[in-house]
Amino acid sequence: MNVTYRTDKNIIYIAVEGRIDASNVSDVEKSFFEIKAENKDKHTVIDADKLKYISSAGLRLLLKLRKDEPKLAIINVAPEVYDVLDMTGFTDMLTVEKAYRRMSVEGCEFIAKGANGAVYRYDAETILKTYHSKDALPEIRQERENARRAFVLGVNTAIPYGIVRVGEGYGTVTELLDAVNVTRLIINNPENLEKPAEYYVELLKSIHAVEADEGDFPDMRETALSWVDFISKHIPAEQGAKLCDMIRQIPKTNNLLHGDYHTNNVMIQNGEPLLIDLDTLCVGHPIFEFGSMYNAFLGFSELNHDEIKKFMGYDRETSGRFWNLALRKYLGTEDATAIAQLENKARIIGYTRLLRRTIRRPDEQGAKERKEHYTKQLTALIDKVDTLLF
Amino acid sequence: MNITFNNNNGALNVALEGRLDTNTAPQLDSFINENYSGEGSLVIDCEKLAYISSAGLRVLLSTQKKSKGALKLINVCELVMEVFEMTGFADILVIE
Repeated sequence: MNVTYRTDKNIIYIAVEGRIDASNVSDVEKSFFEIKAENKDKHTVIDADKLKYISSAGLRLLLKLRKDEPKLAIINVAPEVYDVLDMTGFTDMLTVEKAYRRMSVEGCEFIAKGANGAVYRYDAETILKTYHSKDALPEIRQERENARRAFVLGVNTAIPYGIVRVGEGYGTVTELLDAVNVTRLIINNPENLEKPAEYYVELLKSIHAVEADEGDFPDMRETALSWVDFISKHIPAEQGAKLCDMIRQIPKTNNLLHGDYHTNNVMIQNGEPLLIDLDTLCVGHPIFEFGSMYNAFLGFSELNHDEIKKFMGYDRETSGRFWNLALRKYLGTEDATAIAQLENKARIIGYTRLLRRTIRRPDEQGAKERKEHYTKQLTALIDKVDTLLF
Repeated sequence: MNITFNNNNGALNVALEGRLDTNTAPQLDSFINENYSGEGSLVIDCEKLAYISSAGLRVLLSTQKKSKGALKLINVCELVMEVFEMTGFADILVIE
């Protein structure tokens, strides 16, 4: 039996290894209160990752600790320990979090390698995505929570089943989709973009039609204002002020936005578009979505036309045609002026973001040129456009 | 997937057999549209439901909305229950 602890901000995680029973409970208790005395003003969380067994003597200790700390939590609780806590009613008194199920990638078919992990086929219907970093948990949880919320709000997406432990790291389990993405449809037939654009816009409109609850997702208007704040020193004061005004005039809305709506993130399954990669979900006026879409289709590759091919697999000319078609379908018009107007508004949001990104990465190759280019484009557009609403 | 049902004075009892996935979810969706007005109780027996995917969850979600909370699921097997728990659906649906 071994009691150790670590602190993180205002929490002490006290880890107990082995068993807590009548033979050692007084030692455990002593260790606990010593640790707590050394870390006053911190909340206690018991990390039960390596706790194998708890007897009624151990449960009495939990009651004592709870008197001191009404919000006592126990995390990483193994199934055997969880059963005891559940049967004795402790799961109603304390915050008890079950341990994540362990899964192994041994013998699984390897599918792809990503920046932070890898993707495996676990069995006939499930995919296991692993994350190398031990610290990936908050990010994984956020993405999963986003996906769950969006799913319940009616967005067509595959709901992730759960978080699991894989070795020292973590993983997520999702169902295997029998689907192709819109990028693939474009590459297969770049001369006929009608159908893929239809899927792409149908899903986009259905996302934007969803009203999320206040505070559930980040507000893009706030984010955009922080970008403007950041770049305002780098563009002429007059244009900076006008840009800020135009963003302020966009009403605060809770329309759901994907935040990174490029063609890799739309899958087609059984003739139905399906959204994936929900870590960037946010809320706001759809113009913010169009800003990031412009960047994906054209903005990023403006000074290096080959770049788009590297990321998406289709060329810039095709990308531009698809973007134009998407605008046309979203607006439901063939009116070239209306389409160009929306594009210019999207470009203002897009360039604002790209300019900030470029300024923050001054050492990247071509940063100086890009900064000049985006500044020039942005300021010219600000002079020409008076509202970002459409 | 097999859908059997009986309608007892406006109380609809449905039993599902097989897999509720992207191929079969539309089948349940149209069954509900045709046989359930949204009024009265609705019980879905899941004893023989072996698997459920996102598409299946989506139909259950829309059915639950239509039933204004009256939908009840019974005899859910362990495997399907695990999906409900992991996806947070155990908190959204009434499961007995």
